[in-house]
Amino acid sequence: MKLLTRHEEHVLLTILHLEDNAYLVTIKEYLEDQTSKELSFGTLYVSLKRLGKMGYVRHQVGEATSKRGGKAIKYYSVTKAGVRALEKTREVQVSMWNGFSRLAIKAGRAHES
Amino acid sequence: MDSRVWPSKREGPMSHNRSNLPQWGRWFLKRLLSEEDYEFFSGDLEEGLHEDLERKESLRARLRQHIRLSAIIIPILMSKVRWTAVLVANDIKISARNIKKHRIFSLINITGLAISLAFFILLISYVQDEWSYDRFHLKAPQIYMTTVEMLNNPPAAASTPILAEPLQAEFPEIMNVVRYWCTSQAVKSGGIIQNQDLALADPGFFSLFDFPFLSGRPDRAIDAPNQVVLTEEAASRFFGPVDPVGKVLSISMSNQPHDFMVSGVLERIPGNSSIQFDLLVSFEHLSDIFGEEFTGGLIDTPFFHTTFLELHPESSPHDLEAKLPGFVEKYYGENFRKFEMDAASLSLGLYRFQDFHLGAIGAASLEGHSRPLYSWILFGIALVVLLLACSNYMNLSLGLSSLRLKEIGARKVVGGGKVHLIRQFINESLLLSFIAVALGAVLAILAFPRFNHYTGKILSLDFLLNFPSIAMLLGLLLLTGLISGGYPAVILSGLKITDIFSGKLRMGGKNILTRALLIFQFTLTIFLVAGSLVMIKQIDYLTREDMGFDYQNLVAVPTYSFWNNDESGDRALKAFQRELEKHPEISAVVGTNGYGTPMGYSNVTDYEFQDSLVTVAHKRVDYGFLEALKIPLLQGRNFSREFPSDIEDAVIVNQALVRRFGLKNPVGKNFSEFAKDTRPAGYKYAPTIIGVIQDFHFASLHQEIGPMMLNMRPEGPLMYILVRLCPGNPAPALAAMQEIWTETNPDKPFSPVFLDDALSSQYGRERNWSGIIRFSTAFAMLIAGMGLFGLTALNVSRRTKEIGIRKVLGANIPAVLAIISREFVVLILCANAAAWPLAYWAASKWLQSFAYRTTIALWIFPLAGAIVLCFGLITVCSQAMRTCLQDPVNALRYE
Repeated sequence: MKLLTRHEEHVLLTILHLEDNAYLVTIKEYLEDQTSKELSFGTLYVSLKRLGKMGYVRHQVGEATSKRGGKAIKYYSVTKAGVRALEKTREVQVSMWNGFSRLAIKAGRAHES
Repeated sequence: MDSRVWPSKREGPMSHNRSNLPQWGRWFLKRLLSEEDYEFFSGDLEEGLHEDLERKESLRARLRQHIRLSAIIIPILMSKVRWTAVLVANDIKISARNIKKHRIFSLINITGLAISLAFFILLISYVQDEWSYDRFHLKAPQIYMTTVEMLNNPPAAASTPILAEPLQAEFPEIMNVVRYWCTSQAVKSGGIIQNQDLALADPGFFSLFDFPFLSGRPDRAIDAPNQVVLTEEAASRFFGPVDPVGKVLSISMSNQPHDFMVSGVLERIPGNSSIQFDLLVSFEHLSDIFGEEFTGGLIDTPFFHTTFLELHPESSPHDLEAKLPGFVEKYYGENFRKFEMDAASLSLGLYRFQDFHLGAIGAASLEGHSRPLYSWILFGIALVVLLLACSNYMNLSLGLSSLRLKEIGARKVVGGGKVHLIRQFINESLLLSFIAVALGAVLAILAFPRFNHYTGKILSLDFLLNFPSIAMLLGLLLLTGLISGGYPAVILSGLKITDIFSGKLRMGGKNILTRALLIFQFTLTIFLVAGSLVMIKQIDYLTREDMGFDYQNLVAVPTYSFWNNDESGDRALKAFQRELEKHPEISAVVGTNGYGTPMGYSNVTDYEFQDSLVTVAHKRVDYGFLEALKIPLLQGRNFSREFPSDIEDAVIVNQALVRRFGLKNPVGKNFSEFAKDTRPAGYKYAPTIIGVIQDFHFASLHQEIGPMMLNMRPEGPLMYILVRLCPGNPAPALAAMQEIWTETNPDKPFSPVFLDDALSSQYGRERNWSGIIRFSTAFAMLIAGMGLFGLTALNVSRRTKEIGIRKVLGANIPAVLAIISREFVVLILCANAAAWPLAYWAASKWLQSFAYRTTIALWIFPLAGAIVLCFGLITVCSQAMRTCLQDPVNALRYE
């Protein structure tokens, strides 16, 4: 299985966090909050589309509200495959980060001397 | 719902389904996303961007909105077009491979197209300049000039100073009247004295015409006397780089220096303006220059300047024109009757200012105009050269296609449709023409100085940098790409696969279109060659035509006195004659007048003769004029100091005058005996003829020599002092003249002109024209030659084996060359047949504009044909030779 990119990983985690209320606007807001970096709707749309194609997210149609100019809403949720991909990514991450604090101190010392 | 967050559009309350997204954003998204996705996505955008999408008043905020939106759309766009981009890239790659594979042909195509495009750009910039004259003023469509037509003089855009006030008072539709006059006056500042073009205009000038100011205020610049506006160049000439506003400048008027304060500096006046001057002052100073105020009516004030009118946008110039005869009668009827004349003999009219440059009416204060025909000819040539290059391309790609038939066949077999093939070919030619356009633009930029030199215009590259030009370049790119790629694409994509692989097809070189294109190319080339031969011959004829006087070693010194009562010219002449007699290198010093050139005439009289009017030119001369210019006296005597009455009463006439009036014994006759002066009483002039001289050219060679009389009456100032130098180095004589001049005329510049230079510059326009035509001819030859070169190369490469066999069987090189070139020779001969009558017609049309013209010698046409034929043969044979010189073994092993 291909590893998720950092961006994909963040998007999937956001959808999990938002539970029932994950759609384009809330996902964007949450991500921007967490990373304090601006994100374009277009970029987010493209990555959601790709995640959908890979089978990691699915969506269901909600009802239209006047707040949205009378347009229907598309809620996203993470599929089982998506959860597995996240787990796998995390495993790799954990093993990569393993022993980081010890090594960081060592590197810091080496730098000082 | 919070309506503050959801502002309604201006036109009404918010409705559902109405999006606040900018139009273009919606357009893009609709095309990029599926219908369903668009629905969701635009909903998300409306919700997420609600603050961003509010209507913003400030430009900046709106701009930011658009930038945000594009940041949203670009990632989606990129995710969609990735594969299309890959496809296009593949096309380009294959095209590039093809271009590389047939290097020589691509080179011919690209350079041919590039050169002709460069040429096209240059010529179009010339034509554009011609057509854009005087259109940069915002009010240009409403600006008219008054014209006058009287007796048998052609109408002229001339006016008298007294006309402005009554016009404005009488007609409410005239919103603004500006009198304008440009003359030449000596200007002094610090140690610099220079003669400058001084314009006089009413204060409304700067509200009528848009000449941008570098410093100073347009509305206050000339509203008071003794204020002067300078152009950028004049300012730097007199004051250097500092801002001259507030500084003082002395302008000589009627030989009196007047101080002027600089009130403004104008940007450089564009080259495409008919109004050109160095300095501009208020029209009030007219009386300072003439030394008198103008009072009187239309009959007794001179028509010499231009009056500009600004008409109300909704009024019709024709209606106004229709009211003018009534106006003349109302205001000036008395004036006409006083001089026993009919008010209807003078008619006023209107002429639109922006039509002046390409029009046919003259105005003394404005720059000369040019003939629209010339612009059209240039436009035609530009188009023709471009067509030549395109037809080269068509020929070559059709020819080349025989080498690419297998590729086309293979593409078809694996399922390439007609559309794909056409796209491939068009892509290829677009790629080629893209390279060519880029190269052509660079070439044009490099050639600009040279082109300006040829055309005598000051065109700047700014022309290339504005939006219409860039659009034009892109249009040219598409046009050349489509024209030159389209035909081969359609033909080649329509071939049958079986035909392709059975090897029966032969493309290029043989088919009718290729031949027709070749004949077309060579017709044009021969036409241009013949045309430039005729032009060269005519210019040569002009410069050799006997002027009727000896202009070698003759120097004219302008005295800068223009007015009837201005005697400074006479004084300067006296001083020159007194001092220069001591110099052995100077053989004669005489004074004369004449407008335009020292040999020109200064005035005319219309005489009634046998029910028609004959215009006789006057020229004021001085004792010794005929001797100094070596003009032979045929009958009678010269002016002499022994007859004091010569000054008022005597004239010497030319043969043209004798012929025109049919005089048997002209000497001793008084004008009143055979002709009647049409002018009012008190202005009549009826002198006695004392001598007859041989005709000499006093006007341009475009005009026939008309009747003329030389007189000594001081009816005009001495405008020129003519000095005949002895042959040899003119420098010491010029130095002596300069010394005398600065002593006697400290307020006027010394600017001597050699008459032979002045005469040859009269034909500057013809010279420019012949320059352009020769330039174009060389180009056309080059491009046609390149096409021929390519075609022969193709032809020869296809016939390599044939040539090999012929050589093995004993043919020698000349025989083989003859076989290859025979076909082209026949085509070029056909082209001759088409080109000769065409060239004859065009050349005789052009020559008709000259009164003195060379005959169109018939040998010019065979010569032009021969030149092109030789050129073609050299091209063909040089190609064929390469194959011929090869060892036949190689030729037979080929393939």
